[in-house]
Amino acid sequence: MPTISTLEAVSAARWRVAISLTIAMMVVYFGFILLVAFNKPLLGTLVTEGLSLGVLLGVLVILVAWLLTWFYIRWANTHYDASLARLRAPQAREGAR
Amino acid sequence: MTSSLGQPNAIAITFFLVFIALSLVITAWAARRTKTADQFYTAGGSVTAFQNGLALAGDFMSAASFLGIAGLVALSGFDGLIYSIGWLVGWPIVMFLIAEPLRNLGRYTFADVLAARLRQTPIRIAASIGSLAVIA
Repeated sequence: MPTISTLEAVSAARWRVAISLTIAMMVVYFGFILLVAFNKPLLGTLVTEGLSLGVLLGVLVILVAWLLTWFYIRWANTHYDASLARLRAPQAREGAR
Repeated sequence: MTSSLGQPNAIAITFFLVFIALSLVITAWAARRTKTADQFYTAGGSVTAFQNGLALAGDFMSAASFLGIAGLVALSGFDGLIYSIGWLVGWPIVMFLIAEPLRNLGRYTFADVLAARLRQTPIRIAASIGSLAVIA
């Protein structure tokens, strides 16, 4: 997204990304917690010897947290900081609109 | 069966005191070099991302993680594991929502941020009581 030119647009884009990632994290986590709360037998089923579905999903929730963090950092480094740098550059200020 | 659990352990106490002394020496050394709030909270911005990651990891993988979670899992099984997952899930959310506004404000602590917008004294008192209640 190299076309972001105004500070408001950059800020709005950051909030969109932040809120989307927060919602994704909440859905994954509370989905897991609700499963624990209301469907214990399902999570108790053994995937393999000594590993229940509950533990496996718990590890997956942690991995999703890492994945979303990685995604945010990658987005911030490549798009967000680049847009901010363009806004701060003096010649871009005249060029923007 | 005899057990040494719960008995004073000279080696453990000695190492506890050694670590306390070492921490205090490092703190005193760092305090002499610290002149501004920027240096106090972020070491003047001279901490690299990797060093910061190490510090956060040290904070996160604390006694609470290793002893507390291990104890919780030992006592309540799967429910203890959920606790550690919820703890970790909070961190990305804090980063998504708070990290950038915090950086933009140029403040360092939660109370500083609130005090930037609200009346200083009551909000600092409320933040202090909240922190102390959670820790204690």
